[in-house]
Amino acid sequence: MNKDIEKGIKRLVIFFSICFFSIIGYLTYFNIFTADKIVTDPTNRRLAIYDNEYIRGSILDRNGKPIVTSKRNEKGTQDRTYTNGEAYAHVTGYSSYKYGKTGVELKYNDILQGRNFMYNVFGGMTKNIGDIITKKEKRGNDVCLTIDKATQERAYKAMGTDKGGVAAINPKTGEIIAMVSTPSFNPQNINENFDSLKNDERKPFINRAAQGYYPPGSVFKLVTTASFIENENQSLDRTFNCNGKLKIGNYTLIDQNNKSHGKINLKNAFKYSCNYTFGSIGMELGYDRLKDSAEKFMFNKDIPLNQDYDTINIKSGGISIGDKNDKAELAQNAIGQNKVAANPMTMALVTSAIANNGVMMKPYIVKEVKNPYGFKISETVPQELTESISRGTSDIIKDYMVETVKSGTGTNARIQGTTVAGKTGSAEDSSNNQSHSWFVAFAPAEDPQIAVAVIVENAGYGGGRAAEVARETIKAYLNK
Amino acid sequence: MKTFEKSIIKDICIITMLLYSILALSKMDYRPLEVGGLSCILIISSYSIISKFFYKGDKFLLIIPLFITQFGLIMIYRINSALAFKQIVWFVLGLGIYMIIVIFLRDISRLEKFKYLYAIIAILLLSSTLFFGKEIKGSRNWLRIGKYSIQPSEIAKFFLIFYLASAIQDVKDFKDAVKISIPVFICIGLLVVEKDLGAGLIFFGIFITMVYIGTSDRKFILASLGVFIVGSIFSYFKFAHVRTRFAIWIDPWKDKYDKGNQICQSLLAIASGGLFGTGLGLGHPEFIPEVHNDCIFAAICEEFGLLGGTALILLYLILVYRGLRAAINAKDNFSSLVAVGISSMIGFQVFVIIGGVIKMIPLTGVTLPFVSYGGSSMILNFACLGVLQKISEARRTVVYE
Repeated sequence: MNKDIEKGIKRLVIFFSICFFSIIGYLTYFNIFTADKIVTDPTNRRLAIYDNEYIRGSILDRNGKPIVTSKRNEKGTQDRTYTNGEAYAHVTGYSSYKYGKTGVELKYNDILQGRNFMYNVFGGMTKNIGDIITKKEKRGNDVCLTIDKATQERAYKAMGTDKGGVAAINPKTGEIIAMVSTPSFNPQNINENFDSLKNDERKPFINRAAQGYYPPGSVFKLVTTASFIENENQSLDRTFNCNGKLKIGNYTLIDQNNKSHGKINLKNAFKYSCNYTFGSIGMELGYDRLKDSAEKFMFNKDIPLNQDYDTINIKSGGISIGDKNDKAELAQNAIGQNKVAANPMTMALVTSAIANNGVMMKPYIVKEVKNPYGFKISETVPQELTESISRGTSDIIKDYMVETVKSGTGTNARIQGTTVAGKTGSAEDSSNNQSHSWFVAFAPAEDPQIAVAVIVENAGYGGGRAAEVARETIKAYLNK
Repeated sequence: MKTFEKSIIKDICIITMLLYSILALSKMDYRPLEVGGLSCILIISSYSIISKFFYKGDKFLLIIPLFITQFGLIMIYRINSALAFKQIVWFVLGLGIYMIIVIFLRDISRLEKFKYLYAIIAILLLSSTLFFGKEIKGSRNWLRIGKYSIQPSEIAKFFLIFYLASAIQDVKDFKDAVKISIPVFICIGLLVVEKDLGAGLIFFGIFITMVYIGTSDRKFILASLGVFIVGSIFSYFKFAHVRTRFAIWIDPWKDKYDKGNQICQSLLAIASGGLFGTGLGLGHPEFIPEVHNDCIFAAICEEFGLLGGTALILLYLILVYRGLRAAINAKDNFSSLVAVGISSMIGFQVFVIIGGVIKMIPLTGVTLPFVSYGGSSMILNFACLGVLQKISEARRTVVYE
């Protein structure tokens, strides 16, 4: 036999070694880098089997009242019940083997399934051993939200058939008390309705409360007012001369109903939402100072949640301008039109900062996680997010807001026996004649417990529908 | 040396019995133990015959496949015990043919003279399915005889190796090379038309390695690679099923409920196994389509983990290495080329199917030698082993001891 064949065969041995070791290499790579990403795919039927070993944990409200629960049925599988599901759809999310999971159901999936190792060592472990002996059914952990059941459901009911969103925050802690987006959907029968919901023109899957991007209109005057007080060393008694029309070059900024307020000071301008005054203030401040103040209220900035997993994505408010020196654009920015955008969640944060002496707290929606035996596994501790304004400024704006509800544009939000502080907004919607109805408020003014922001799409003036929804929300929370 | 081999046989029997005991416990059934006992008897007796009467050959060429076969048998039993009983019959038949070849085939070089007959048989076998074949699972590569389905492409491989081994030695120049490759390309063309792309790929692999070893000329390799590339591009544009396979390989998740389902389920099984696997009987191979056949490696990875899968691949590598070692020591060029053909057939087949199941290369349906369920493949592989054994026996010099 010739030497060439031998040499060739030796090369062949090397060739096959390379082939086989590359398979082993690829397999190892796959296990380390790809495996984790694909095992959660909905086509993996193992998930359903593993999941079914544990009864999925409940989602509870801040007082431990059940929102979502699971129960074993006769077939051996589990039924998940979403009580009043539409009201909570954007908070809890849905859980489907066909269409995946969203919201708390997605981000806290491992915890709900009991797939975590954060045991309360002395409490949980011993009980766990007890369960193995007594063959008690295994349960996942419960997730307690900061949501208040009564408030959430009342806010949802108040929204009726209108499109829009509500966000309510505890200004002292950052707890999200309510987050409603309408139109909504019921996570209960997501499997049957998914396709029609997905193609629905009204877009029920969008969380308008946290993901919306609306012009804030006059509720943005909170920011403009703060900027004016903090930046201009002027007497707050200075008067503006409103004639109902602010002429800037070719552009005219008009007040509602072309109403002229005459000689007016800042307090009354706020109370009656005078566009002439705030337009002028915006032009005086200039874009940079207005933008700085807005950014202190977290406009243009990512808003992190104060919890382990981000169950909601807050789209932060935005402010920008085409031409810095264009006075007309400036005046419009100052009254929350042009290139200013926000949603109820970001406006509720702005309001909560004013209510909380200028300090904005980090928002969160998961209060604590409890293991099946009721032991706390983790608990969220309130954290400061940023100091938006000084205490002095917040006191002044608070006072203006109280006046607004007492005798200004926001009288519709008055509640017997409680001082409500608020601000109305009517944001022009370029695609519709009717403007968006906005209202932000907090109450009680002396010791703020709740800060609310509401938008009702194309419902007209803020003093109308939005103030009504805000009032109902506050009443539900304060038990009035 | 002999005590070493004996201790390996003992270990294989222990492992086999252990795994069958696990199956017996998990299914609460005594039958796995019977199957295990029978398997061990088969292993021990076939090893004894070889080591007693044919001690000159390389015993590892039998020991390793026996172990791999047991591994496969256990997996098939775990997936579907009815199939496992049939597979045992194939295993016994395979061993029988192996013994017949080892005992009765005196001199392998006598087979050299029938070269064109082999080519004709191979082409006839492959074209038979075009006329009498049945389309099963999207490929027209099955022949039904009475109750049984056989896969002619498996048997054709055997003849192709013999054809090439005898014909290649006549190659003097490029013209000869073209002449001898004509039947091979006819075979590959037939396989592509029958949608049996995996077998086509393996035929090509065997062809190219044997031509390279037989002629030691890189020119031929480059030429055949060129033909291969042109052919692949041509068939990509000409045949829809080739395009589908390719698209599934690029992104199986796009069509995960339908065409990509098999590969996606394989990947999910492998991913669920992790490093150590779920353990025998605790995975879910029933979710993988064709798990007893093409995708059995995914089930092995799920239950035995990355480590089990790697071990199996290494066993195959050792087997291929022992086969190629027999080729180096063979007494003449014909035997040497046959041994190269058989070893590279096993090597390519393992690479094509495992690489396909883990999505390293496009998935094409071929069997995993000695492991997948299937009579044709089991019998053919044992026949090949018999020939290899014979070649290793007739080596020029005794290397070890």
